[in-house]
Parts: sequence; structure tokens; C-alpha cells
Amino acid sequence: MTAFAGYMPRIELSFRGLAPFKGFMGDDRGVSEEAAYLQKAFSFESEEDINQTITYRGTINEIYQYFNEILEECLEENWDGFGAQPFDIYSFFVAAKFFSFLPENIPKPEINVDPDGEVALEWFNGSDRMLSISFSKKGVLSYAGLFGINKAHGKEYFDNDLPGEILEKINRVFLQEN
Amino acid sequence: MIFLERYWKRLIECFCKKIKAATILPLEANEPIDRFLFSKKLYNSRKNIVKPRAFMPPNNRKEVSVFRTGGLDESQIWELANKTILSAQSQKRTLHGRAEITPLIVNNVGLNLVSDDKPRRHANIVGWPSEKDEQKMYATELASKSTLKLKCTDSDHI
Repeated sequence: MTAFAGYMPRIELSFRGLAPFKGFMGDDRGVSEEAAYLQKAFSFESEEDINQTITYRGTINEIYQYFNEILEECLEENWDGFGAQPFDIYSFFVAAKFFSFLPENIPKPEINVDPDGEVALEWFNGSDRMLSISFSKKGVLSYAGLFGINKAHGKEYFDNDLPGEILEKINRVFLQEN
Repeated sequence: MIFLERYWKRLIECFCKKIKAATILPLEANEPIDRFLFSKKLYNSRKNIVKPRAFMPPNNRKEVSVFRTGGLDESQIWELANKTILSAQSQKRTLHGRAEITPLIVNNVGLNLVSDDKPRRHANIVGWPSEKDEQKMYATELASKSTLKLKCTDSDHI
């Protein structure tokens, strides 16, 4: 937890496992209408009967915007014209959780969806400095980045700690190396 | 007699295959190769960059479909996409632009380009590894070295 010390959670969402958009709760708890919609969308029954509470950084509207963005563009099969799978809702949850763990000083990433449906968060700083991290529903992060003439790729596991290696890679995208 | 007919058919098939192979022009190191972009999620017009996702191989396949566009002007390139890809799609798609690279770039990042001319001018980027992070690395390098060419004035995409 040291990697994101200082982060102050403001909104809590609870959800249970599978079947997206099943079992809307109808409880808006004073947040915006959009956030309430997302909150509803995230509240469903679990196939594996897993109860978990995910605490998001106070950016529920940003997460909703991400959700809306891929919902609009990447919901249908073959959305890219080359046979891509629709986005995986569980992968989105992992990505959203990861996003909520990011320190406030990290630039906001762009969201994308891989051909296999996994959600990816991406940072760009020109054409030769970029980092893309894909999130499997099991919490495996596959990343690849270009940092000027240097490059790096690999896998990390993400549960309740932001991997320091990944945080270092994100910072490196915006670092001016001589 | 039957034997002669079979022999004759085989001879013709073989001849046709050789003619077809001979009509596929050999790849030149710096000829333009284009990956057509059918989603705004594949590029960022404001930053003028192609996103790595544009070059990721489709699920469970290890080839990325591209077209050889050497000798064609802009309108002919868009027409090629319309005729070969858009007409074959069951859903209506919008062609936003293309990411242009060369065979030399493909080879330099460690992948290969194979021209099959099916459909006309078609080729595949092959040699993809099976691990996802490695695929992403190759796709990132290709995207970084590609040039974004938009079909028309596109609104900024964030």
C-alpha cells in the first residue's frame, strides 16, 4: 500500500461477480445521475458467490466516462473491422480498480480494448513515448512501453497493491531522458 | 483416357498456380504498406499518433492484415479499402484513416511481411509471438514508426 500512500478514497462501490447489468439496485446515494447509473451497472449477482468491495479514488465520474466510451465503441463483436471481441466487463473492473489506485499526480490514461476483449489503459507522450497496460479478468497485467530509444514489456500481477514496476514505467513515459 | 484427362487437369492447375505466383510483385523495402483504421479507438488525431492497438493481431490469429498501396493515389487507396474490406463486412463500418508503414519497418522490429494478393494487394504481418506482452511490444513499435493518414477532417479524439 506504500506505493499510493496519500490517496484518499471518497466513494465506495460494492459488487458481486458475474452477469453484467443484472440486478440494478436503484440506489443513487447522492452522487450524480451518471455515477448512479454506473453504480447500478456494477451491482450484480456473483456466480462464484464472491463478495468484494472495491474502493475507488474520488473519480467515479471519470470511471463512468471510461465505461461509457468503450460501451459506445467496443460493445459489438468486430468493432474494429478485424474481428475484435467485445470488451470484457471483468477486465474493465480490474482496470477501474487499477485506475483508482493511481496517485493523483499521474496523468489520466486513455482507455482501449484489445482484440481479445481485454481492457487496456494507455499513456502517450509523443509517438516514441507510450505505455499500454492490458488487464486480464484474473488480474494479470500485460504491458509494453516505448521510452525514446528504450523499450520494456512484461507481466505483473495486480491485486490490492499497485506494482511499483508499473508505476515506474508510467512515470518514465513522461520523464525527459537525455 | 481417364488417366490422360487427370494428367491434363493437373498440368493446367499447376500452370495456373505458377502464373498467379508470378503476378505477386516482390516486396520492396520502402513501398507503402497500410493498415486501415475502422475505429477512432485506434488512433489519436489530436496527438497525431497511431495507437498500438491498431497493429495488434486478432484474437487467436497471429497475422495482421495490411494492404500494399504503392502506385496508388489517395482516392484509389480509400477505394481499395471500400472494395476489399468494407464491402465484405456484414455491419456498416466507417473508414477513418490508415496507418502507413514499410516492409523495412516490419522487418526491423522483428516481424515479417507475406504478400498473398488475396484479395488483390493484400499482405499479412506474420511472425507474432504467443505471449501477449510481447505482441503488445511489437504492436507498439509498429505504431510508433507508422504515419497516421486520416481520410478526412476528423474531430479530435481524446
